[in-house]
Formats: sequence, structure tokens, C-alpha cells
Amino acid sequence: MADSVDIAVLGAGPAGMAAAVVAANAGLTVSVLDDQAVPGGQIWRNVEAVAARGDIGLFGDDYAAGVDAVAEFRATDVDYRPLSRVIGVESADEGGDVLYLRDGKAGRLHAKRLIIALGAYERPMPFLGWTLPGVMTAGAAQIALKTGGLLPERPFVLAGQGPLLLLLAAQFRAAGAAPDILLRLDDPGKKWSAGKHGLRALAGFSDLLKGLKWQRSLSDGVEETVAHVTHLEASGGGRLEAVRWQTADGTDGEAEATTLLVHDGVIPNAQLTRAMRIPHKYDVAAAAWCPEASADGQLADTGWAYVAGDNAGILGWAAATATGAKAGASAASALGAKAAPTNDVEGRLDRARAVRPLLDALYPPAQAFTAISDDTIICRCEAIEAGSVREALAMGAQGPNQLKAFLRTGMGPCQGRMCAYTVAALAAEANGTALADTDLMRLRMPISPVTVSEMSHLNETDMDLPTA
Amino acid sequence: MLRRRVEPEGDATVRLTIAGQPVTALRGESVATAALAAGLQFTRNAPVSGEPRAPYCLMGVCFECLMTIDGQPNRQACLVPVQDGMNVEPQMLRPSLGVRDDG
Repeated sequence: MADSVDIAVLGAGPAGMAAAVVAANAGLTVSVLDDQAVPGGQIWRNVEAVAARGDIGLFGDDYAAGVDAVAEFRATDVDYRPLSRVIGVESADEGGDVLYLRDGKAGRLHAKRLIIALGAYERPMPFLGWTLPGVMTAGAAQIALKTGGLLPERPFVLAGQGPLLLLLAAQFRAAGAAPDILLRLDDPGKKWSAGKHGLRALAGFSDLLKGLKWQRSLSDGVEETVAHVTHLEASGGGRLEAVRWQTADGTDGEAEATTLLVHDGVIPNAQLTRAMRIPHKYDVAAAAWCPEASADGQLADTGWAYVAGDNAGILGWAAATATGAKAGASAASALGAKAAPTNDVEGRLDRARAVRPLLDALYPPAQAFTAISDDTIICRCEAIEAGSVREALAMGAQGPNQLKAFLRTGMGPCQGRMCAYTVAALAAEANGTALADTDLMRLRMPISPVTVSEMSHLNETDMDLPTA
Repeated sequence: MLRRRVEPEGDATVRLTIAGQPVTALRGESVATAALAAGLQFTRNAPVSGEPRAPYCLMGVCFECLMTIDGQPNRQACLVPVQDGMNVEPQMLRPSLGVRDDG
């Protein structure tokens, strides 16, 4: 039974939906596979249901933009496969095979062209106590609010930096749950050095205004705001009970807490492109490894696979709809279809790119200026502390790949999603090399755990098999 | 750590069992958020150290929400939508042996 389409799109966020709409409108057969039960990705998570229950106002205009995008996607005849977890991709027959899990079975889908739009996730930020129940990412709490209508319990501490932190703070406040304490991990001194990118950023004027508005109201409703925090610690017996911090000028603080939400920007979800052995480059300004691709998203070393949206490098949702449409049009053209150009694709991209250098300069990862103590767990799955990694490196472990053999860093169920960047940073620190010259740990497929039962469905045949 | 803004009502309500307790959840949400709303303090323990863990990312990245759902272990509870009649248990593994610690 051949399961085959012209174009397979992985991910139903802004980029994936845009790619699918362009390709489907060009008359091609398109399948979209996505982890979630409904389209929208993380930025537009559950947007249809939130609009239906009248809560859309809590999340702002950028979220509301998802209503039309999801409706446009739903209106196409795209073969949309929700709750489908991609586990790998293989090159096959002048295209590729997508291997995925759905309903407890592994499946194989052949596509002539593949568009990978698996988005981004929050940069893991290890600190003492970050594995305690009660500590989670700010993005996780936002997902809980969008899906289950959940709010952080007080006392609630929000700690982090970056444009998304400003948005999240505004959303929690709108929902009636402003943090009691806000710990800002950004360095206010960066304002001056980032100024040189200001002129270019004016091209993204509306984004700048939005940022200023969030910035101004950031501390509204907050009891205590602490600037330039450089050390963060969570403690408690089996669950979060207290948060401690220190600022750049050496001032200490401590507060009781039930909920600690942290955020240190976002990084591309490059798990699949890395497992495909696509070359990845460290983008110094963004402090992130990005897959090498052409201007329309075609991945280096493949003739059939594309990457789009934040999976390719962080530019935000508006740019993701543009890079998604570009990849969709390019893939469709390669198959001889006439893809209609979508509105203002280059303009949207230019505006997003104009603001990015300013944002990157204002909000470098907090980890760049907070040292990870030896007793901090860096690999959550295997409960491995930074000190063990430093010790293994001192004993001669050559880098992230050999550290797996020494310690199992990155070999638990998350497969390095949570520790790969930190392990690379510790290796670079020990070897005295730049991050740009350090490789992330090697990944292999399947990129998500698979049971033998699921795997047994992969190559179903019509043969009569003997039964016991 | 998280509480519900508004309790689900009418058609939006899903009834399931989490850690032996009857729980009402909101249709469309994940097992992980339903567990958090129900006040569950942890979803699993770390098999290496035994310490309790709870959902960290809620989007399929961190694997801290691995639970036993309808008898099947190692499910990412944040990627499984709630369904009526589901039976969900936290996943407790005995440190170092990697065997279940509930029987």
C-alpha cells in the first residue's frame, strides 16, 4: 500500500501552514504532519478553541493573527495528520520517506519534496534546582494557559530575558496573574552597545513600538522587579519552596515561591535536520546552531528537502509565514507546478530581519554571563551535573560525542534537546575554543522514542503470517 | 504550581482518573496540564536519581512528563489529549534498576 504525496510538510505552525497552502493552491498533493491535535504551532497554540471561548483578547494581536491563518489552512484540501510524531526521514526515490508515529503505529510516507518546519523551543537554562517540580519554562505556562486555562500559583516568580518574556508577562497580567517578583536576567548595559543596530531596526517600526509598549508595562502589577540578575537558584524538598538570586552589583535576594517560570529566548528545533547530517552553522549573534540552506530554504546537500520558519533560524512568526511560503513555492516549482506568489513575502522577511540584530544585541543568552556551578544538573534525563562534565573533559574526553561514552550526556529520552547546547559550551570552555568551532553532539534517528510494537507496523505486508 | 482559571463545564468537560483520583479536565487539553490542574506534584521520577520531576516544557521537548496512560508506560503526557475514561499514573522507576516501583 503506497502512501505517497508530492509534498510533505512537517509541522503545522506559521511556516508549515503557509508552505502547505501555497503548494496545495498550486494543485499539488500535500500532507502535513504535526505533533499537536490542532493546527497553529506553539505561537498560535489552540487558537481556534481560544477564539471560540472568547479568550483571544488575553494574548494580543500576534496571537489573534493565527485565527485567519488556521482558517486559510483548514480551507485547503491538504491531507492534515494531527497527533503525528516524526521520528525520522530517509532519502528515497528522488525524494524522501518520512517515518512517523500515529495512533500507536509507525508509518512511512513518501514525498517528492519535503518541507521541514518544526519550529523552535526555549533555550534550556540550567541553574541549581531547575529540575524541581514547580519550576517550568514561561512558554510551558503559556501553553497551559492557552490549552487548559491554567495560571501560575502564587507566590509566583518570573525570571528571564528576551522579547518573548515581555510578551509572556503581558499575557499573564491580562489573565489576572502578574508575577509577584520579576527577575530580569538581561544586562541593562547592552542598551548602549545595541544602539548601533537601532537605525536599521526602524524598518521594523511596528515591532519596535510593540516592544516598547511591553517594556513600559513590564513591571505593572509586579510587587518587586529586580534588574540585572546574574545568579539564580531554586530550592525545596521534592518541590519548589524558595528562589534565591544575586545581582551584578552583588546584592542577594530570596523569596518563597510556589511557581518559578524561566525564559532565556528561543532556539531552532534542529533535531531532525541535525539527525539528517545537514551541516549546521553556529550563528554568533543569535547564539544558535542553524541548518545551512539556500535563500528559499533548500537544505545543503539535498535536492529534495527544505527548511522554513524558526527551524531555520529565529525570526518570529511573520517571517515564518514568508519563509514557509517561499519554500512551498520553490518546492512546487521544482515539481513543475505553477505556484502563485503570496503577498509581500520579501517585505515581511525584510522587516523581521531589520529588527533581529537589535534584539540579538539587547538579549544575548543569560548563560553567556552566568556561570554554571559544578553542582548544577545539566543533563536532566541522566541527572548529570556540570562538575562531572568538567571532570570528564579534564580527563581527556574530546568533546560532546565522547562525553556520551564517558557520562551518557544526551543519551536519555530527550536525546540532548535539553543539554546539547550546555554540553557544547562546557566543552568549548574546557578546550579554550569558540562555540562556533565546537560541534553539537551527533544525533541519530529515530529522533523520538519508538516502541517495538509501533515499529512492527512499519512495513506491513499482505502476506499471511503464521499465528501462534 | 498551576491552577485553573475557570472550571470546565458542560460539553467541554472530560472525566478521567489521574493517580487514582477522579479528575475533570477541559476537552482539548493534554493529560499533562490536566495532571497539573488536578494538583499532582510530580509526573514521574528521574530513574537515575529517584528525585521527583514535573512537566517542564509542555511541548514535547523535555520528556519530564513521561506517564503511564491506560497501562502504556513512557507516554509524553503533554502530547496526549485527555479522553473520557482514561487512567493515568505517574511513572515511578526504581533508581539504578530501571524497574517499576509500584508492585
